[in-house]
Amino acid sequence: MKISPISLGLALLLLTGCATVEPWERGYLARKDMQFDPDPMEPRVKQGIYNSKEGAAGGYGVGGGGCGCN
Amino acid sequence: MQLTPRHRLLILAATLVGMGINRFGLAGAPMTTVAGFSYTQYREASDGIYVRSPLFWLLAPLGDAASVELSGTVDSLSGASPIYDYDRMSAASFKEHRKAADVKVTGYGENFDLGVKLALSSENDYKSTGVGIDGRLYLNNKNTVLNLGLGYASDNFDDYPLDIHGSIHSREVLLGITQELTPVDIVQSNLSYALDNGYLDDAHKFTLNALGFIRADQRPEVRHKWAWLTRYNHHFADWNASSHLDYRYYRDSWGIAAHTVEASWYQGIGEDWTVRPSLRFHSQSQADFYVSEITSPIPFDASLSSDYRISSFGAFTPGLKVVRKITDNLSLSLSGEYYKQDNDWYLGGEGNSNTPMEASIVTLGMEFVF
Repeated sequence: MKISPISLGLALLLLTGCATVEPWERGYLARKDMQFDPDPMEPRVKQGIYNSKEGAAGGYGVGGGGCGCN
Repeated sequence: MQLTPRHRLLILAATLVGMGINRFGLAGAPMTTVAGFSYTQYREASDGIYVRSPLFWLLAPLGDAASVELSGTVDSLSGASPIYDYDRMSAASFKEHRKAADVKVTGYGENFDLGVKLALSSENDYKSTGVGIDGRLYLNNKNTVLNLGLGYASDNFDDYPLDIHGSIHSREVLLGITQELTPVDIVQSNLSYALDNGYLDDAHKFTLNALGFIRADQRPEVRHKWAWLTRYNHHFADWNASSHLDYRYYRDSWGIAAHTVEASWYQGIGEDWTVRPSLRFHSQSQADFYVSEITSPIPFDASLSSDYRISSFGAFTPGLKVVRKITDNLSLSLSGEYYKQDNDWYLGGEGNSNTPMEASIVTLGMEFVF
């Protein structure tokens, strides 16, 4: 599947023009269950398992080391 | 695992970053110290691999404009890993420990933060050192966050019984955007590119042919990898619940293309309980040089592998997690997931892994806010 960088960039830029959420409206967004990783330990465990059992990885962050996982 | 002079220099650099950033604001700086501990038991079916993995994690403020994040784990691995992708008829038994730790120091400005991370891991025949820089810029009344990450890892493989040695260098860049859409909707989209080069073979795996001859695993020395991850969270205020939906598209220069979807539902029950059912689906195509067994002559210098991890298959992972708030400072959690690969679940038709695996994953967790 080819992704046009231009169309992707335009789509992302359009997002920045979306309705503004005021600071006093952020109560729900600040909830633990609304964080992308509510449990910081969980992605360390799960992504390590998936990355060692599958041929795909990436997209979540940078700077982790590798392993000779079987 | 010893700290080399290069490691010490990186830790010093990270500390100086944290101290030197403009102190006027707290774009996302933590206010309190949070510590966590989890214990995971991973067990494969069919007498496969068994892993016990305790993990410690800590996030603490450093003054009012910096923070430090630490984690460490010691995995105990045992069991058997398939040598041939051939109904697991043969397997290499092993027992070993893997130690890993990482430290990240982040400095916070009024509209940005910048973090530096060092990650180390060590096992019998494999050592890895990784570094990363991660910056975030807050725009549009902090409704929009732009993220840029750069990472580098240097790994060394030394199998002295087999007298095989190699190194791998990995470079990665990530560009992302997080956007608050409404008071109950938030979306994040990340594009990453990684380049691995060096010894990418698996020295412990072989390919079998019908006459019983074996060929060693042999892969290209370069791998380009692209991943596009999009995550969307929504809160249902009337139901005390939130939904998470993630989708990742992956493609690499070995010919693998993969789709991964993950959905979770966080249901609050009263003040103290959260129940989270989840379902993950993954489908990947095979690497161009993957064969389940040799059925026709293949040149000796050609890439070749029967590693099931780069075959084509689909995988489902249903899961359930329960979190109980004990006090305002302490919460406990228990989660269980079952991971299963199957050729019938491959989106591109019939998969061709001869050893689709399955495993149970159970995790007990604890989080304490100081």
